[in-house]
Amino acid sequence: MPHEKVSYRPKPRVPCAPLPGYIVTRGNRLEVARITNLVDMIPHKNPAIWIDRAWLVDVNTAAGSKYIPNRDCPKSETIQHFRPTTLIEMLAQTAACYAAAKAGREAGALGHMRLAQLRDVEFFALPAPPFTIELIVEHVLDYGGKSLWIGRAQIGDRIVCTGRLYLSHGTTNA
Amino acid sequence: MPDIQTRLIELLHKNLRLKVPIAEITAETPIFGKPGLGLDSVDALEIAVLLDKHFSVRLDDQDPASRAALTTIGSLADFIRTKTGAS
Repeated sequence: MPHEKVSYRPKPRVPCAPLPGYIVTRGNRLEVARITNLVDMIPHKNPAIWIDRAWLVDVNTAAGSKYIPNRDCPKSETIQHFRPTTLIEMLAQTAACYAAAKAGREAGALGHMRLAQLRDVEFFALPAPPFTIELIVEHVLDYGGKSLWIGRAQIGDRIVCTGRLYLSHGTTNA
Repeated sequence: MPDIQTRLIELLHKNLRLKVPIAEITAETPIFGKPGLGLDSVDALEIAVLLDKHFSVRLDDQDPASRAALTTIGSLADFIRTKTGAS
């Protein structure tokens, strides 16, 4: 199915306030410094952490990235250990990092977020590894203990997944 | 220009992909559960997004009036009228 290409280029915007311990400033980005911080920010532990890093783009948007090495697809023919549905979990974990960073709370204090529902999800063909997936989630609204996120995953300018993610607060799926 | 309730029904029917025929939706139709539109809490979030986008009306889950508005189509239309000052 043809899809309009959307080039992701962070625009210079007013950044969020720095959050000690979680975020470092890099250019106009506020970036999560190390994966050890991700461990603090989401309930998942390795090997269930599906993003390498995450950063805030603006007050409503976060981005993350994940490098998929060649060894995850030894024959470069099929994605053996990496399934497209994993992209959804990557987007959800990026959103959870955003929520934790924006709340600026210590590990565990935020309350965990759980993927409650998905809508309008589309997957597109993945190239053969190695590649780096960029994950972009935009927070739309909170209501009734749930939050709506518009997410997309892309490799370069090639979109590989889009969808609406509904996260609920207060429980964990880790 | 269609009135608030008509616009609301059209918006919900289109954006939430309701299975209930649009002609059967009235002011008395419950938003949640059966009989009614059969919507759930995720749909409530979508309704909040739609109201914000199309009517510039914010639903606040801490506000009893907001929660009460999500009872029937009519109560939600009344809530929008109150917030926007529309007739």
